[in-house]
Amino acid sequence: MSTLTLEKPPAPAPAPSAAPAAGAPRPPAAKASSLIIGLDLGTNKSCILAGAPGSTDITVSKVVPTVAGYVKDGIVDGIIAGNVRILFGEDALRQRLHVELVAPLAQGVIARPEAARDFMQHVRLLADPSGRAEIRAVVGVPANAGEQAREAVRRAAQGIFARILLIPEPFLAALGFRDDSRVKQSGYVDPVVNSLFIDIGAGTSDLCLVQGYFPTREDQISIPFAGDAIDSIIHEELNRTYPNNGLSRMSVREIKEAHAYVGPSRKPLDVKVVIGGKGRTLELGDAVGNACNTLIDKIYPALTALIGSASSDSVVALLQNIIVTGGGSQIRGIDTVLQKRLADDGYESPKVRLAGQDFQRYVALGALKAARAARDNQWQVLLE
Amino acid sequence: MRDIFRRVFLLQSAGRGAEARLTEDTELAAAAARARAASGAGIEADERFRAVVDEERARVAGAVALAEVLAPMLSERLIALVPARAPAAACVPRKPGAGAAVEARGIADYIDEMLAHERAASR
Repeated sequence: MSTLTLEKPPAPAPAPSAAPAAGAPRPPAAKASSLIIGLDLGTNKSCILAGAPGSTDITVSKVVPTVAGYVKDGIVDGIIAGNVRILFGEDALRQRLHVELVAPLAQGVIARPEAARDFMQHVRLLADPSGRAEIRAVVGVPANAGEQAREAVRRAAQGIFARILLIPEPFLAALGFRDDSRVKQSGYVDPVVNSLFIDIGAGTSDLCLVQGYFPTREDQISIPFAGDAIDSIIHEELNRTYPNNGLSRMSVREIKEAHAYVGPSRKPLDVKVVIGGKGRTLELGDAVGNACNTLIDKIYPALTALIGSASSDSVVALLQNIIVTGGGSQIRGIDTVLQKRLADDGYESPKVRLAGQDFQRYVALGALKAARAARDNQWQVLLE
Repeated sequence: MRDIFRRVFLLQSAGRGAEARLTEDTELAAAAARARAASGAGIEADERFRAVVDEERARVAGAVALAEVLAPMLSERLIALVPARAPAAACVPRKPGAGAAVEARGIADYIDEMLAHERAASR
């Protein structure tokens, strides 16, 4: 039981509890509609899927940069549309000159509680512009997230969502990746039955053995090395090779997203950048390759540890079903490099594949499925 | 404000002193300041404040005492209702065989497992 929540036995839905802003007066009493949200609260990007309970429709599907922009003092009226004080996501990034950008999360967990709360409020607004619906949200948390990290999510959602359920992200990714229409078809390999998910985000890389039961703590490994750490290595290398380049972390991230690869060096990798207003071409083959290969070195031992913990009855099939998802799945060659490394180490016919173009949505999709399936007494009620 | 007092006393009774103090220093302090600003300072306001504290402390103490009496009674009755083949220990999560027949199990069953793990871990 957490500080702020009670696990509640089945009970009639409570009165609407969401307010348009934290601490703001409630809207006039009205019959509240219900809304279910699947939320992948990521370090860099968050995915929000929403729909009515009891339906399979998805009425809201958005991927938003997880960032709040607090408008700086002294900004002239009219510069910021509506003269609002806080912007979120792309709006905040577009106005980066006029706002103080705050990332609510670092390494997969909430690092700036106030910004997290503001961002949660924004999530709510995206899902329910009326501000009247009673919202139940399943939120993904990193594998093995500690109680403190979970409590921070609950606190951020308090008074914004009526009920909440926190579920480890890799398991949600497996649920989201599962094609429900094919589960009963012969030949369909259900990822929930026997698979190993590698979810590489910005803050953490989470690996999870999913074998037809809810993964225990021993089935999950979370490594605090992922996209942001790669950015950091590339940035340091750039500063060493090209001093005074003036590139921001965001520009480095854009370079990584466009050129990331693992495996043997891909030189020359010429990248055109603008430094001090002048166009320059930088050769980044080693900088990008070395940084991304560090990720492989970090996750490979965790991968083999989880494979080693699978039962002998299941391991052969498991090796056929290793799935890479999250932003890291966009690193060129990550599937083939991991697969080759496993094969070289003697693992039996390993097959590593990428989750595909919907990689940003699987955790949220799994969360939405879980939200729709959760029993009333499984939700945690957020006390106000 | 009463609900915050209740939460603080509940946390204290659960031995979670640090969280209780945090709630006291943040939420409770803010709520108390708001209440004082609304009703004005003075002896009367202080007395009202103390009365609320005493009342909520007594309510929590009563609830805790009731739970102490009620929990063993309920557990005794529930055990009596459970068939002999399903002993109480069965509620501790166990790891089924890999690739267990999941067709019969829904997502809610997975969530049950997750919650059982969490409860077991927090004991």
